[in-house]
Amino acid sequence: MVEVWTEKYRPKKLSEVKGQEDIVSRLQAFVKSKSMPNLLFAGPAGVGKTASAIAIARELFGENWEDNILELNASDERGIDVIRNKVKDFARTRAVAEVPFKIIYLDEADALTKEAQQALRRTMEDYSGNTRFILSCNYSSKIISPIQSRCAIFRFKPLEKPVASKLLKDIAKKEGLKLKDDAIDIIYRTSEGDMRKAENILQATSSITKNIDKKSVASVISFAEPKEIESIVKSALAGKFKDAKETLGKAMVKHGLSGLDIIKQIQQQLWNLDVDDKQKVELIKVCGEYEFRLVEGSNEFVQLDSLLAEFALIGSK
Amino acid sequence: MPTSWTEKYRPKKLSEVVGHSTAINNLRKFIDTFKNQKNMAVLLCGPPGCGKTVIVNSLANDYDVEIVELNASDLRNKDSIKNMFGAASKQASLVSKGKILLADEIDGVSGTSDRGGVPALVEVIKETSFPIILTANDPYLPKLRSLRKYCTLIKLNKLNYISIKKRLEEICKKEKVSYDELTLKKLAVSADGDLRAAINDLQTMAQGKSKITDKDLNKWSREREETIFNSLKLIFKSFDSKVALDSSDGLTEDLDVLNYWLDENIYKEYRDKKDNRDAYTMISFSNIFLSRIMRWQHWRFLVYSKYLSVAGVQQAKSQSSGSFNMYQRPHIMNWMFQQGMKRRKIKSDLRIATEKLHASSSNLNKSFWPYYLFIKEHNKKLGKELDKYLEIPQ
Repeated sequence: MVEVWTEKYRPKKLSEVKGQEDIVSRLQAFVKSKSMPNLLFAGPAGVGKTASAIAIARELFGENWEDNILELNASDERGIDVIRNKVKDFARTRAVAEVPFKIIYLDEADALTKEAQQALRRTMEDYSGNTRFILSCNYSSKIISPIQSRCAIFRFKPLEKPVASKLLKDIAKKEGLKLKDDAIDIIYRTSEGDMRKAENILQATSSITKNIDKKSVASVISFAEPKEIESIVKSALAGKFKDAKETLGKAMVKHGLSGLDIIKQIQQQLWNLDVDDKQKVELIKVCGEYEFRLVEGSNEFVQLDSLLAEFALIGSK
Repeated sequence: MPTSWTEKYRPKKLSEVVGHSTAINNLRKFIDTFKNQKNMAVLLCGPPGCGKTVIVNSLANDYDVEIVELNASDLRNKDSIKNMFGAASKQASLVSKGKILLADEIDGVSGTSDRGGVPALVEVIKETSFPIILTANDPYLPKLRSLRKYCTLIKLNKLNYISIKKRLEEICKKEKVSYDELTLKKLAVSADGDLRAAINDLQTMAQGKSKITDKDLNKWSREREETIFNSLKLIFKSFDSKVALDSSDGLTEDLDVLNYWLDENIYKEYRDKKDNRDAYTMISFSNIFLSRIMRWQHWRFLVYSKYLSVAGVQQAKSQSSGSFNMYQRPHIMNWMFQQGMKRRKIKSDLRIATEKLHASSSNLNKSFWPYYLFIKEHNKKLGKELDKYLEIPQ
């Protein structure tokens, strides 16, 4: 059966979680003594937070691990009440005899508002008898201090290049791929230490060739960025407002892109644009202002059209 | 005798329905091979007013079957669906040979007052002995997710202007109204996929006339658009703010719509780049105030929003362009609708993927989705197998 590689090669044991050696050895001690406090995992995406939580559950509970961990994602659940109810249902039954607790893994806990985090704190206390929470977040500073003080905090680092490189090479070997060093360079640069992204890029590239080199990887990466944005910016600057406006509207419909997706990519385009520096400063200032208007919740189409009108004027100077 | 042309010329048979030929063929196939189907229901979806109801009614006429309908006004809780729909799905019909069960506008099923509505429908679909047709504007709403598994999706696209124009010509011939080719084309284009609106326009224009021309088109556009057209003209062509503001009094509630009209037409009127920029900046600010109203529930912001849209855009020009443009209907509303539908489809697929991939949908949107799309486009076989693995429906 074909699988997504991030799952196929997901660590089964803590020792297989790479690049976080200090954290892993402390977590292994919890597993060995079958006791642990609530945990808070902080760090960027794709560095082993969820993998560590799942590995803990596998090592503690053996083959019944899935019955003894409840995975929740704060950004996908519809509010703290839903989370509370799921926790309540889950905590009703006991864990296997040797381990006195079940695990609740709450991913992206920093997506919860301060109020919701207060409610979460209560829930953590209510079920402290037979559950342990593992919370994960990008930034621990976005977690309220009463929760932080109830957790052992672990800070995960972005994966360093040799570590990511080794993991990619192992996968390539098992999948029978030829993986060139320049391909690893570009995968690592694009994924910025996010292994989930890196493995997905590798798998996508393998769908077109067994020879993974710089060129084949680049074709995957450029596919991920809609090509329309470049032509929208260029048309607008050349004063072809109508073309820019129509291409923009159609691109948003075709790819289901939000205004913020678009403006982020426009901003990245501006960086590489061949215009004089005075103009570039103007363009970037305008871009930032319109991003703010979008964040405020204004209509994406109206705001972006207005941005294009600004570009057309700046381009004519 | 019906007085409204939309009634008078409403298709009775599928062969009379304008456009949608692929969808209609698929629908016929569904009915013809109903006994051997995997899915016992069809989810017929498309933008508002694209002809969903007309198609279902014509289908029933063609096959000479009865329609048992459950519409939005019926209660949609578990009991009412089971009582009325469940029973009908098993009993043979009394009056004619067969029947089709129709649940119209199921995207109107709300979460609270229709508790249990969707699961009850699923139960009915699983056990029905008659074809079921569900209609919806947007099939990708999360609440319809469980329903989609049991339905064959048939999409109706927006009608193109050529189909609309053809239908308008037929009606003109039957009504013995002669017409100007170009006028009819403009009318069809400005209907933007809405045949019903186009026929209504045509009837209004042709009232008591034997020939319709461009002059009638400008004169007899629908009343609401008349106000908008008039306001646009005063905004784009004149410099007197008071007159323009007075003329837009009727538009206050539809200020966002006026902004969409302005957005669609400013660049055609204001050829000077600075005028153009200044005018778009005005609707940008007007739009910001509209979103602040929503956010703070402070309705007084409407005053500023209106002033910026009307007087602001008017004063942005350095001179008035002499030429007259036929103002275009804004694309934005349609784009917003389609973009929303697409986004919900992506979100719904991502939500399914989260179960297997242990990450949130927003995370997967960045780290997984683009690469999965790449595989689907470049290696169809692998893409299909991944869909199966992730349990994403086709």
